[in-house]
Amino acid sequence: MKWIVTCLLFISTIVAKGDIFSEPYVTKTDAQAYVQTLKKLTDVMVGDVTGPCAAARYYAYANMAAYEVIYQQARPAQYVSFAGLLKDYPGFSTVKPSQPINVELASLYAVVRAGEELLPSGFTLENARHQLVKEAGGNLSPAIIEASCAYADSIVKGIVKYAARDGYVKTSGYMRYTPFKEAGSWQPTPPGYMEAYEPHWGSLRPFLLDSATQFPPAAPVAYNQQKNSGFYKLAKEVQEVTSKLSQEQIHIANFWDCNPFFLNQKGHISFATKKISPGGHWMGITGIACTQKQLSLAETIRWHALVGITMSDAFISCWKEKFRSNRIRPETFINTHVDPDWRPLLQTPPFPEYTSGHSVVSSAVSTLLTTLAGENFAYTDITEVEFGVPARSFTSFKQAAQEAAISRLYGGIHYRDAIDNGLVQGKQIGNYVVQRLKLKQ
Amino acid sequence: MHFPTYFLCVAFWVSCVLYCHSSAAQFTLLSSKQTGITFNNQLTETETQNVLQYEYFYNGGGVAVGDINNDGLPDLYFTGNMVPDRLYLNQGNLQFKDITQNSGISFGTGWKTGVTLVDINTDGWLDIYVCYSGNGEPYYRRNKLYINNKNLTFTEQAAQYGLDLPTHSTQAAFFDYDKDGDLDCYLMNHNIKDFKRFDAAAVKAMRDEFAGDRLLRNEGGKFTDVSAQAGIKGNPIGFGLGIAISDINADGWPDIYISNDYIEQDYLYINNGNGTFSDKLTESVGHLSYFSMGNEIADINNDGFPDIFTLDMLPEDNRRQKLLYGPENYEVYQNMVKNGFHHQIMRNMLQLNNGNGTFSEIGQLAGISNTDWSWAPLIADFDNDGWKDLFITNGYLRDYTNMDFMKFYADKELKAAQGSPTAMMDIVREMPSSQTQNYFFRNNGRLQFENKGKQWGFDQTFLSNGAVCADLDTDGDLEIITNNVNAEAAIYRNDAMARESNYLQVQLGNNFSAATYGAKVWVHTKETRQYQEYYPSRGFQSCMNTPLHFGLGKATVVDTLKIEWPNGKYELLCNIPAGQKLVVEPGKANKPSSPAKSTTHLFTAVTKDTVPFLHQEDDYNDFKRQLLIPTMLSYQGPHLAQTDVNKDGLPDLYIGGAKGQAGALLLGQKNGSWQTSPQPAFQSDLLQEDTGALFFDADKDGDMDLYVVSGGYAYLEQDVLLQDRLYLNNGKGKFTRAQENLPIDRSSDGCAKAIDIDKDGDLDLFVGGRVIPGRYPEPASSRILLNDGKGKFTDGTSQLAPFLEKFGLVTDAVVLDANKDGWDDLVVAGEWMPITVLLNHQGKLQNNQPANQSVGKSYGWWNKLVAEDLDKDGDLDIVAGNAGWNCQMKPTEKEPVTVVYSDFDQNEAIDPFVCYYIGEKSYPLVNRDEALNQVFALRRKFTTYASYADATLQEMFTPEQLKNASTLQATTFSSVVLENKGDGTFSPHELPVEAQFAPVYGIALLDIDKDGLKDLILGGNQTYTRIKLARMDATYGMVFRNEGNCRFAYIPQWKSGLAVKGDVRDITVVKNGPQTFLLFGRNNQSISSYLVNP
Repeated sequence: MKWIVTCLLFISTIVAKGDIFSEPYVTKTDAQAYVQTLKKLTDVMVGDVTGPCAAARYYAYANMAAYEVIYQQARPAQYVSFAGLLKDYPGFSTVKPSQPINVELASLYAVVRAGEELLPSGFTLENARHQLVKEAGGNLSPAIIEASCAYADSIVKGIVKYAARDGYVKTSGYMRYTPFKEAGSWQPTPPGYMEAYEPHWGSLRPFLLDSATQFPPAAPVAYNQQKNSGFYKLAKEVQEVTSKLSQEQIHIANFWDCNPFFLNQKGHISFATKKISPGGHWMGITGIACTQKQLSLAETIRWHALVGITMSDAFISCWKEKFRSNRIRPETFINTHVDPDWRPLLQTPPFPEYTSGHSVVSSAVSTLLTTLAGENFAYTDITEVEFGVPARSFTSFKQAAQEAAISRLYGGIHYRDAIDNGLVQGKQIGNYVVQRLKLKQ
Repeated sequence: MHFPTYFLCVAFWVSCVLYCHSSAAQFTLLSSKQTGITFNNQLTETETQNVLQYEYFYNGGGVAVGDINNDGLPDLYFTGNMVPDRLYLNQGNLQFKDITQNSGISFGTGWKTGVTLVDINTDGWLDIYVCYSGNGEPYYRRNKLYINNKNLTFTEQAAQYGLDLPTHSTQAAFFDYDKDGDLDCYLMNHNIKDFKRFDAAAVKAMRDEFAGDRLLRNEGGKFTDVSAQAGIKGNPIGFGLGIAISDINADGWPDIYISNDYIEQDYLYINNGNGTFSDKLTESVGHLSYFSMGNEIADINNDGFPDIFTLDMLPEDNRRQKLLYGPENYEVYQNMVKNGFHHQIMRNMLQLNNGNGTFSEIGQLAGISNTDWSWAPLIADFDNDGWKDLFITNGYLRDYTNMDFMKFYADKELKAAQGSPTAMMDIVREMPSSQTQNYFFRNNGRLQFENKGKQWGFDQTFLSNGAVCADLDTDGDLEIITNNVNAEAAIYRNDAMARESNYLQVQLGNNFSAATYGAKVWVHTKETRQYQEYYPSRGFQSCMNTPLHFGLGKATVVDTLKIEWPNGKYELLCNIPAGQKLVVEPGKANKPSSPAKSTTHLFTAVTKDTVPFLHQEDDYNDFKRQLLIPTMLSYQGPHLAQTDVNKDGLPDLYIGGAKGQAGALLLGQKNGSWQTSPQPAFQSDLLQEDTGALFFDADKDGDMDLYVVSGGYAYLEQDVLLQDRLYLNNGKGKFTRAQENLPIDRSSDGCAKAIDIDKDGDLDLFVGGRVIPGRYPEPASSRILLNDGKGKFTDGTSQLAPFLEKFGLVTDAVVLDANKDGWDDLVVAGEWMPITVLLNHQGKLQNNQPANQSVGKSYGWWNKLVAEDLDKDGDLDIVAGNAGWNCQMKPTEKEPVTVVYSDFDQNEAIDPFVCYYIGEKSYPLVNRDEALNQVFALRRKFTTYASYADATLQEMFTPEQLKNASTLQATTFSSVVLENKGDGTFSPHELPVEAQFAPVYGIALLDIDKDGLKDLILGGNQTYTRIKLARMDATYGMVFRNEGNCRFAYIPQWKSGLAVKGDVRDITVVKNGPQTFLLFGRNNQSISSYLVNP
C-alpha cells in the first residue's frame, strides 16, 4: 500500500512536469474530454453499421484500454485490478513506460488507438489521434508525448490481443444459422429479410459472468396459434397497442429505436439510414452522467469501462437466450395469423425475439449506473437529437431503462414477456456485476 | 514547302479517320443534321416529378416504325416521357421531316411510354396507340389512340374504342387471340407505388385497377376487358416491362410472354384455343430473369422453333458486379420459390425452345447474359448472313443501385443535408449515370455470340431505351433507331449492303390486316433454313410494322418460301430471286396445311409401373457450413447399380439412398415392372449417404455382392457414418453386411471400382475420396482395398499406390487396360483435377506422365467417366462429363478458374476463395460481404464496396499469406470424349455445344439406331449452387448420335422424346427381354424411366 502511494506521488510529479500545481493538460472539463473522444468511435461505428453486439464489444475493449492505462499508472482508489477479475485478463504490470508519461494523454490516446485497431473503419480515427497529440503539444514536451503514446500503444496491443481470443473470430468458422421450420420459430423479416445477426454471439467469452447462461430468463410464453392462448394474446396486445399509439409513445419508440440499419426501399432505390446501437445510446447516457457530475477523467473512464463490460456481458447473455428460444417476431406472427396488413412502427431487427436486447442491456447498465451515480439521478438525454429525435428527460436511470424496455412494445417488435423478463435478466446481470466489482450499493 | 506538308498531313489524317471508320464499322451513326431527327427524350427532374415519386422515371421512351402515309417508306414515331411525342415522315435517303406540329398528336401533359401502330379501323392506314403512365391523376394517364385521317393528320379517339384506359401502361400489343378475324389488345401495365404485403398467395390473386395487365377483346370495334375470364393475371405486383406474342408451342394459336420487373415472375401464357390462357412458365423454364425488362421471341438457332430472350441488369465487368451484389440470402431465395415466384436470377436469359414444351436456358453459354441495365433487345439478321444477331440497348440515368449508396453514401449525405425535405432527391440528382455502350452480338450459327459493338460502330455511350430496326433507306439491310434519354434519338445506318450479302424482305399484305398477324414464314436456301413470325410489338415499348427481313448470305435465290397464315392456309413459293421486297397477300393462299405429322420419338416416357423409388434429401445447406464454396456437396445421389442378384435372368437394381434414407433393392419382373425387395441390412444403414454402388463377386461364391460407397458432406470430418459397406449375397438376393470385411474408414468417398490390381484372380477395389466434410477443397485421400480372395479387404494403398494419399477431390474412375500389357489400369477424374491415367505396373499403380500429357491440361470439374469402344477399334475410349460452358466461369488454360485456400484468419476454418477471369484479371467469385463474413480481418481492409470492387487476391492478402495458401485450378469445363490411341495415350475431342449446356453427371451408351456404333445419352444439371452462379438446369437428358471416329451429333429433344427434369446423377440402360429402358436417377426425385422405341 505504501508502495502504491509513493508510486502515485512520483507519477503525479512527473505528469506535472515537476510542478505539481501547473495547469493540467486536459483543458476541457475532464469528463467532456473523454466523452468527446469516445464519441468519435461511436461515429465510426454508426458509419460502419456496427450491430448491437459488436458495438458493445468494441466499447468494452476500447474503454478498457483507457482504464488500464490509468490503473497501471495512477492507481486511483476507486480502481480495481481487472487482472484476476475479468476472465483470462492478461496482466499489464510488466508493461512499463520507457520515460515519464502523461497519464491523461495516454488514456485518451489509448481509447482512440483501440478504436483504430478494433473498428473496421478505425483508420478514419487517424485524424482524431493526430489532433490529440497536436493539442497536447501546447502543454507537454515532445518526449513525454512520445512516451505517453508509446505506452498507450503497448497497452492497446495487449488489449487487442486479449480481444482476439474472446471467441469472436471463431464465429466465422461456425455453421451458419438456418431458421427453424417448427411453428413459432424466428423467420427473417421485412423489408430486407436479412439473415440472422450474430447467431453465435452466445459463444463469446463473457468478462464477468461465469457463463452466458448464468442468468437465464424465465421461460417465454409457449407458442400457440390458438386465439385464446396466452401467446396469441401477447401478439394481439402488440397489434392493439401499436394501433393506437399516443404522440408520447411514438416519441418513446423512436427515441429508443437505436436501429443501426434502417432500410428504405423504393423500387430499385434502396438505402439505409443509420443510428447508434443500444450500446451506443447507453454510452451516451453514461457520458451525460459523467459530464453532469463533472467527474475527473479517471472516474469518467472508470464509469465507461464498467458500463462497457456490463453491456457486453448483457448482450452475450441475451443472445444466448435469443438463439436458444428462437422465437418468432410479432411482425411474422401477426401478418400470418392476425392481420396481413399490419406493420410495426419500427423495423424489426434481424434476430430472434426473446428476450428483448434493449431491455436486458438497459436494465443491466441502469443497475450499474444507479450504483455509481445514486438513485434518482435526473438528467436529460440528448443522444438521439443528432438523429432527429427530440431529447427526453428522466428522473433516474431505472426510469430510463423501463422506458427503453416498453418502447419495444410500442415499436411493435417485442412481446411483453420478452420485455418484462428481459428487465429481470438485465437486473440480475447488473447486480452481479456490482457485486463482483465490490461497488458500494 | 511548309504548307504542302501540313496539308498532306491533314489530308492523310482525315482520310485515315474516314477510311478506318468505314472499314471497321458496319454501322454509321447519322447526325440529326443528316436525318432531320432532333427528337430528344429530355427528362427534367423536379420536386414533384422525379424517381422517388415515380420509380419508372428513367425507363425512357419507345419507338414505332411503319408506313403511316402508304408511300412505301417506313416512318418513325418517338414517345417522349416529359417532352411531346414526335412523328417523322420518311422522305427517302434517310432524311426525315417532323410533321408533329399540325398532325393532331397531343402536346399536352402526361407521361408517355410505349407506342404501337395498328390499323384499328381496318381502313388500310396505320393508326397510332400511345400508352401513358406516371404519377399523375388518372385523367392524365388515359392512353391515346390517334386515328389516321389519311392526310398526315390524326384524330384522337381512344374513348370511342374503349382503349382510353387510365392504367399505368408500359406497352400494348395487338393480336387476334381468339382468331375471330379482328385484332384484340393485350395492355401491359405496372404499379407505381410500393406494395408492402408479404402474403404472396393473396397478393397474387388480387386484381389491381391501375397496375394489373388487361386483355381487351375487340367486339365489333369496341374493346372489352376479358382479363379475368381469359385467365390473365392482374395483380398489383406485376411490373410488366416486356411483351412478346408468338405461337410458342406451334399449335396455331398465339401465345404471350410477359416480362415482369422485381419479385413477380414472368408469365408464359399459352393460348388454350378456347378464349383462355394458362400460365405455363414454371413447367416450361427452369429459371428466368429476376428484374425482367424488354424481351424478344425469335428463332435464334434456325431450328424452326421460336426462342425467348429476356433482359435484366447484370453488368459485364467485375467492378460493377461487385458494386451491385449484396450478400447471398438463401432464406429469401427459398421463400421466393416457396411462394410461387419460381427461380429468378439477375441475368439475361436465352430460353432455347426444345420444341417439346421445355426450354434450355443458355444465355451464358451464348455469351449474352451480362449486358448491364438493359432495355430493348432486337433480334434480326443485321449482317445478312442468314443468322439472326442481337442488339441490346442499355443505360440508366442515376446509378443508385450500388451497395455503397445503399449502405453508406445515402445516409452520409442525408445527415449532411440536416433534414432538408428535398435531401434525398438532391442526392439522387447528383448520382452519375451508368452510361454503358449498347451491345451488339453477332450470331456465329453455333449458339454462340460475339460482341461486335465496338467493331460495328456502337462505341458511343447513350442511355438508350426503346429501339427498332427497319430498312429505312430500302437498300436491303436494317437500320437501328434508338430513343435516348437526354440525347437526340440515334439513327444508325447499316452499311451491310455495301458488302456482298443478299436478302429477301417479305411484306405481309398491303393493308395491315388482322389476317397477317401471326403469319409464319419459312425461308430455305442451300445454306440456311430460317423462320419468322409476324407480330409488330417488340422489344421494349416499341413496334415494327415492317416487312420481315431475311439475310441470305451468299445465296442469290431462295429455294422455297413458305407462308402459313393464321387461318391455317399456306402458300409455297419456289426459286425466288434475292434482293427484293416481296409482297404476299393472305387471300391468295389456298392450301390447307395438313396437321403436323407426329414424329416418332426415339424414346417414350414410361408412366405405368415406374421404378418404385423416390430419392429424398433433407435440406442441408452446405453454404451454411462453408460460406465460400461454389456448389454443394451434399446432393450427389442417387446412383444406380445393376445386376442379377437372384439369378432369375432378370435385371435387378440397387438405388442408393440419401442421408436418412435406405438404399433400395428392386427386383426386375418379367413384365418390365419392379418389385422392392426388403433388405433389413440396408435399412439399418439409412443414416449414411450412398454416393456410389458396385455389384461384384467379392467372395468368389458365384453371386453378386454389393459395395456401397458412403459419402456426402453433412457429416463430421471423421464421421463413423462415412464408413463404406460391403453386403454379401446369400445367392438368392438376400444381403447381409459384412462388418469385419472392410478396414475402418472415415472418408467421404465418391466412387468405388472393381479392379484385379494384383492379378491374383479376385477383384480388388479402388475407392475414390471425394471431400473432407467442412474442409473443402482440401484434398481427400483415395485408396486401394486388396481382396484376400474370400471377400475380406485390407488397405493396400501405401504399398501399391502411396500417391493416393491426399490425391484430390475424386468423383469417378474407370478401369481399362490402357497400354494393353495385360494389367488393368485406372483412369481417375475429379473436381479441380485433371483426368489422370494410372498405369498398373505389375500390381503397382503409377501416375504415368506420357499418358496424362496425352489427355492435355485437363483440369476440370469432372463428374463422371464411362469407358466404351466408341470407334470400334477394339480398345476402350472414355466419355468424360465436366461442368459445361453454360456458366459465368469459362476457364481456359490461359485463364483458369482457381480456388486459393488457407486458414487465412487462423480460426481453424478453411477459407476457400474461388477466382475466375473477368476481362484481363482473375477476381474472387464472392462479393464483399461474403468475403468479410468469412475473414473478419478483411473488414478493415475493405470498408466500402468500392474498395473491394477491383480487389484481386493480391489486394486481399499479403504475399506471405498467399505463399502459405494452396491453389487448385480448372482449365476446362468441356465435356469430352477421350479417344484411346491404343498405346496407353488418349486424344481428347470436345463434345458438341449442346453437351456443354449443363454439368454432365450421367452417361449411358446404347446403339439406338442399330448402326453398330454406341450412341451417347447424357444427363446432368446442378441446381445446388451459389445464388450468383445459379441453377444449371439446361439439359433434359440429351441424345447424341455416334457419327464414327469418336464424333457425335446432337439429336433434338423433340426427336429424341427425352424431357428429363431435375438433377440427373446417374443413368443406366436396362434390358428386360425385348424391351430396353433408360433409367435416369434424379436427385431428390423419382427415377425417370424411358422405353427405347423399336
